[in-house]
Amino acid sequence: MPFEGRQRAAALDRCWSIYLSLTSVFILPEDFHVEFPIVAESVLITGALQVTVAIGSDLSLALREEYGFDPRQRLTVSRYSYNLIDVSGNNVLRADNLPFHRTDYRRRLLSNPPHHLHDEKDRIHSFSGELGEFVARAEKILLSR
Amino acid sequence: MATRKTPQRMTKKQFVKIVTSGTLSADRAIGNMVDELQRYERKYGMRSEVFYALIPGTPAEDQQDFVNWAICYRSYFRALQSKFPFKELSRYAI
Repeated sequence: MPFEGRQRAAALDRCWSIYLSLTSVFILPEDFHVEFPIVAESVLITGALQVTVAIGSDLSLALREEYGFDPRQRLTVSRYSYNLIDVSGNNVLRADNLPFHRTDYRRRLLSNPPHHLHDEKDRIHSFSGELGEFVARAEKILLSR
Repeated sequence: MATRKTPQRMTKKQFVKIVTSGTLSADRAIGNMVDELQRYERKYGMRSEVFYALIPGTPAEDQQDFVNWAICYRSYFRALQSKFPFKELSRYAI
Protein backbone atom coordinates (compact mmCIF):
# COMPACT_ATOMS: atom_id res chain seq x y z
CA MET A 1 0.00 0.00 0.00
CA PRO A 2 1.34 3.46 -0.78
CA PHE A 3 0.46 4.85 2.64
CA GLU A 4 1.86 3.34 5.82
CA GLY A 5 1.61 4.17 9.51
CA ARG A 6 1.22 7.89 10.12
CA GLN A 7 0.51 8.49 6.46
CA ARG A 8 -2.51 6.19 6.64
CA ALA A 9 -3.75 8.05 9.71
CA ALA A 10 -3.31 11.40 7.94
CA ALA A 11 -5.13 10.13 4.84
CA LEU A 12 -7.99 8.83 6.99
CA ASP A 13 -8.19 12.19 8.77
CA ARG A 14 -8.48 13.94 5.42
CA CYS A 15 -11.25 11.55 4.33
CA TRP A 16 -13.07 12.11 7.60
CA SER A 17 -12.88 15.89 7.21
CA ILE A 18 -14.35 15.57 3.71
CA TYR A 19 -17.15 13.37 5.07
CA LEU A 20 -17.89 15.97 7.75
CA SER A 21 -17.81 18.84 5.24
CA LEU A 22 -20.39 17.12 3.06
CA THR A 23 -22.69 15.68 5.70
CA SER A 24 -22.83 18.89 7.74
CA VAL A 25 -24.18 20.82 4.77
CA PHE A 26 -26.22 18.43 2.64
CA ILE A 27 -28.73 15.65 3.19
CA LEU A 28 -27.07 12.86 1.28
CA PRO A 29 -28.45 9.55 0.01
CA GLU A 30 -28.17 6.72 2.55
CA ASP A 31 -25.90 4.81 0.16
CA PHE A 32 -23.31 7.53 0.57
CA HIS A 33 -22.81 6.70 4.24
CA VAL A 34 -22.27 3.04 3.36
CA GLU A 35 -20.01 3.70 0.39
CA PHE A 36 -17.83 6.44 1.82
CA PRO A 37 -15.70 4.09 3.98
CA ILE A 38 -14.95 2.09 0.79
CA VAL A 39 -13.89 5.35 -0.86
CA ALA A 40 -11.55 5.94 2.09
CA GLU A 41 -10.16 2.41 1.81
CA SER A 42 -9.44 3.07 -1.81
CA VAL A 43 -7.50 6.19 -0.79
CA LEU A 44 -5.18 4.01 1.30
CA ILE A 45 -4.51 1.78 -1.72
CA THR A 46 -4.32 4.34 -4.54
CA GLY A 47 -3.27 7.58 -2.82
CA ALA A 48 -6.22 9.40 -4.36
CA LEU A 49 -9.84 10.07 -3.48
CA GLN A 50 -12.72 9.88 -5.90
CA VAL A 51 -16.29 10.41 -4.79
CA THR A 52 -19.48 11.44 -6.56
CA VAL A 53 -22.67 12.15 -4.66
CA ALA A 54 -26.10 13.61 -5.49
CA ILE A 55 -26.77 16.72 -3.42
CA GLY A 56 -30.19 17.46 -4.87
CA SER A 57 -32.61 16.26 -7.52
CA ASP A 58 -30.57 17.82 -10.32
CA LEU A 59 -27.08 18.42 -8.92
CA SER A 60 -24.13 16.18 -8.06
CA LEU A 61 -20.77 16.83 -6.50
CA ALA A 62 -17.79 15.00 -7.98
CA LEU A 63 -14.63 15.35 -5.92
CA ARG A 64 -11.20 14.07 -6.75
CA GLU A 65 -8.03 14.62 -4.74
CA GLU A 66 -4.53 13.22 -5.13
CA TYR A 67 -2.33 13.13 -2.05
CA GLY A 68 1.33 13.38 -1.29
CA PHE A 69 3.49 14.05 1.75
CA ASP A 70 5.85 16.93 2.35
CA PRO A 71 9.34 16.39 3.83
CA ARG A 72 7.83 16.67 7.33
CA GLN A 73 5.41 13.86 6.46
CA ARG A 74 2.38 16.12 6.43
CA LEU A 75 -0.35 15.22 3.98
CA THR A 76 -0.69 17.56 1.02
CA VAL A 77 -3.34 17.66 -1.69
CA SER A 78 -1.06 17.69 -4.70
CA ARG A 79 -3.86 17.86 -7.28
CA TYR A 80 -7.62 18.22 -6.99
CA SER A 81 -10.68 18.65 -9.10
CA TYR A 82 -13.98 19.63 -7.48
CA ASN A 83 -17.02 19.64 -9.72
CA LEU A 84 -20.66 20.58 -9.36
CA ILE A 85 -22.53 18.91 -12.19
CA ASP A 86 -26.16 19.20 -13.33
CA VAL A 87 -28.38 16.34 -14.55
CA SER A 88 -27.22 16.82 -18.14
CA GLY A 89 -23.60 16.39 -17.07
CA ASN A 90 -22.73 20.06 -17.53
CA ASN A 91 -20.32 21.72 -15.13
CA VAL A 92 -22.09 24.32 -13.03
CA LEU A 93 -18.94 25.03 -11.05
CA ARG A 94 -15.52 23.47 -10.95
CA ALA A 95 -12.29 24.15 -9.13
CA ASP A 96 -8.77 22.83 -9.56
CA ASN A 97 -5.15 23.73 -8.92
CA LEU A 98 -3.68 23.34 -12.39
CA PRO A 99 -1.03 26.04 -12.77
CA PHE A 100 -2.25 27.61 -16.02
CA HIS A 101 -4.12 30.67 -14.79
CA ARG A 102 -2.72 33.75 -13.11
CA THR A 103 -5.64 36.14 -13.58
CA ASP A 104 -9.43 35.94 -13.31
CA TYR A 105 -11.81 36.69 -16.18
CA ARG A 106 -11.54 40.42 -15.38
CA ARG A 107 -7.76 40.19 -15.72
CA ARG A 108 -7.20 40.71 -12.01
CA LEU A 109 -4.55 38.58 -10.33
CA LEU A 110 -5.90 35.43 -8.68
CA SER A 111 -5.87 35.83 -4.90
CA ASN A 112 -4.44 32.36 -4.28
CA PRO A 113 -2.89 30.88 -7.42
CA PRO A 114 -2.80 28.18 -8.71
CA HIS A 115 -6.19 27.62 -7.08
CA HIS A 116 -9.06 28.83 -9.25
CA LEU A 117 -12.72 28.31 -10.05
CA HIS A 118 -14.47 27.95 -13.38
CA ASP A 119 -18.07 29.17 -13.37
CA GLU A 120 -20.93 27.92 -15.57
CA LYS A 121 -19.62 30.04 -18.46
CA ASP A 122 -16.08 28.71 -17.87
CA ARG A 123 -14.93 32.10 -16.60
CA ILE A 124 -12.06 32.03 -14.11
CA HIS A 125 -12.50 33.26 -10.53
CA SER A 126 -10.25 33.37 -7.46
CA PHE A 127 -10.52 30.41 -5.10
CA SER A 128 -8.93 29.59 -1.76
CA GLY A 129 -8.23 25.94 -2.58
CA GLU A 130 -10.33 24.86 0.42
CA LEU A 131 -13.00 22.22 -0.07
CA GLY A 132 -15.14 24.07 2.49
CA GLU A 133 -15.37 27.11 0.22
CA PHE A 134 -16.40 24.95 -2.72
CA VAL A 135 -19.06 23.18 -0.66
CA ALA A 136 -20.42 26.55 0.55
CA ARG A 137 -20.66 27.79 -3.04
CA ALA A 138 -22.36 24.55 -4.10
CA GLU A 139 -24.86 24.93 -1.25
CA LYS A 140 -25.64 28.49 -2.35
CA ILE A 141 -26.29 27.33 -5.92
CA LEU A 142 -28.45 24.44 -4.68
CA LEU A 143 -30.55 26.76 -2.54
CA SER A 144 -31.01 29.23 -5.39
CA ARG A 145 -32.61 26.58 -7.64
CA MET B 1 -32.77 20.61 -0.02
CA ALA B 2 -29.63 21.50 1.89
CA THR B 3 -29.89 21.38 5.66
CA ARG B 4 -27.49 21.11 8.55
CA LYS B 5 -26.70 17.96 10.53
CA THR B 6 -27.51 14.76 8.71
CA PRO B 7 -28.99 12.36 11.29
CA GLN B 8 -27.61 9.09 9.92
CA ARG B 9 -24.02 10.39 9.94
CA MET B 10 -21.55 7.86 11.32
CA THR B 11 -19.11 8.69 14.07
CA LYS B 12 -15.38 8.86 13.47
CA LYS B 13 -14.93 5.73 15.54
CA GLN B 14 -17.39 3.83 13.34
CA PHE B 15 -15.73 5.24 10.23
CA VAL B 16 -12.22 4.17 11.26
CA LYS B 17 -13.47 0.74 12.31
CA ILE B 18 -15.16 0.11 8.95
CA VAL B 19 -12.21 1.40 6.92
CA THR B 20 -9.61 -0.58 8.84
CA SER B 21 -11.66 -3.79 8.60
CA GLY B 22 -10.42 -3.88 4.99
CA THR B 23 -13.24 -4.96 2.70
CA LEU B 24 -11.67 -3.53 -0.46
CA SER B 25 -8.82 -5.51 -2.00
CA ALA B 26 -5.99 -3.92 -3.93
CA ASP B 27 -7.04 -6.02 -6.95
CA ARG B 28 -10.54 -4.57 -6.86
CA ALA B 29 -9.21 -1.01 -6.50
CA ILE B 30 -6.83 -1.53 -9.41
CA GLY B 31 -9.66 -3.12 -11.45
CA ASN B 32 -11.86 -0.07 -10.86
CA MET B 33 -9.09 2.21 -12.10
CA VAL B 34 -8.53 0.06 -15.18
CA ASP B 35 -12.27 0.37 -15.96
CA GLU B 36 -12.08 4.14 -15.60
CA LEU B 37 -8.95 4.42 -17.76
CA GLN B 38 -10.64 2.33 -20.45
CA ARG B 39 -13.74 4.56 -20.35
CA TYR B 40 -11.55 7.61 -21.05
CA GLU B 41 -9.62 5.76 -23.74
CA ARG B 42 -12.87 4.86 -25.54
CA LYS B 43 -14.30 8.36 -25.12
CA TYR B 44 -11.25 10.18 -26.49
CA GLY B 45 -9.92 7.47 -28.83
CA MET B 46 -6.50 7.62 -27.22
CA ARG B 47 -4.51 5.24 -25.08
CA SER B 48 -3.74 6.43 -21.57
CA GLU B 49 0.01 6.27 -22.21
CA VAL B 50 -0.39 8.59 -25.20
CA PHE B 51 -2.72 10.91 -23.30
CA TYR B 52 -0.27 11.10 -20.40
CA ALA B 53 2.66 11.88 -22.68
CA LEU B 54 0.77 14.61 -24.53
CA ILE B 55 -1.71 16.41 -22.28
CA PRO B 56 -0.74 16.73 -18.58
CA GLY B 57 1.53 19.70 -17.99
CA THR B 58 -0.03 21.65 -20.85
CA PRO B 59 -2.98 24.10 -20.71
CA ALA B 60 -5.07 21.47 -22.51
CA GLU B 61 -5.20 19.54 -19.24
CA ASP B 62 -7.56 22.14 -17.75
CA GLN B 63 -10.73 20.08 -18.34
CA GLN B 64 -12.54 17.96 -15.81
CA ASP B 65 -12.01 14.68 -17.68
CA PHE B 66 -8.34 15.33 -18.31
CA VAL B 67 -7.55 16.26 -14.71
CA ASN B 68 -9.34 13.11 -13.54
CA TRP B 69 -7.74 10.94 -16.22
CA ALA B 70 -4.25 12.11 -15.20
CA ILE B 71 -4.95 11.51 -11.50
CA CYS B 72 -6.40 8.07 -12.25
CA TYR B 73 -3.37 7.15 -14.38
CA ARG B 74 -0.90 8.12 -11.65
CA SER B 75 -2.98 6.38 -8.97
CA TYR B 76 -3.11 3.22 -11.08
CA PHE B 77 0.68 3.06 -11.24
CA ARG B 78 1.05 3.89 -7.56
CA ALA B 79 -1.29 1.04 -6.60
CA LEU B 80 0.34 -1.33 -9.07
CA GLN B 81 3.84 -0.53 -7.85
CA SER B 82 2.87 -1.15 -4.26
CA LYS B 83 1.23 -4.46 -5.18
CA PHE B 84 4.28 -5.53 -7.17
CA PRO B 85 7.22 -3.76 -5.50
CA PHE B 86 10.30 -3.15 -7.61
CA LYS B 87 12.32 -5.59 -5.49
CA GLU B 88 9.91 -8.40 -6.33
CA LEU B 89 9.93 -7.59 -10.01
CA SER B 90 13.73 -7.33 -10.17
CA ARG B 91 14.06 -11.11 -9.96
CA TYR B 92 12.56 -11.28 -13.46
CA ALA B 93 15.12 -8.86 -14.85
CA ILE B 94 17.37 -10.31 -17.53
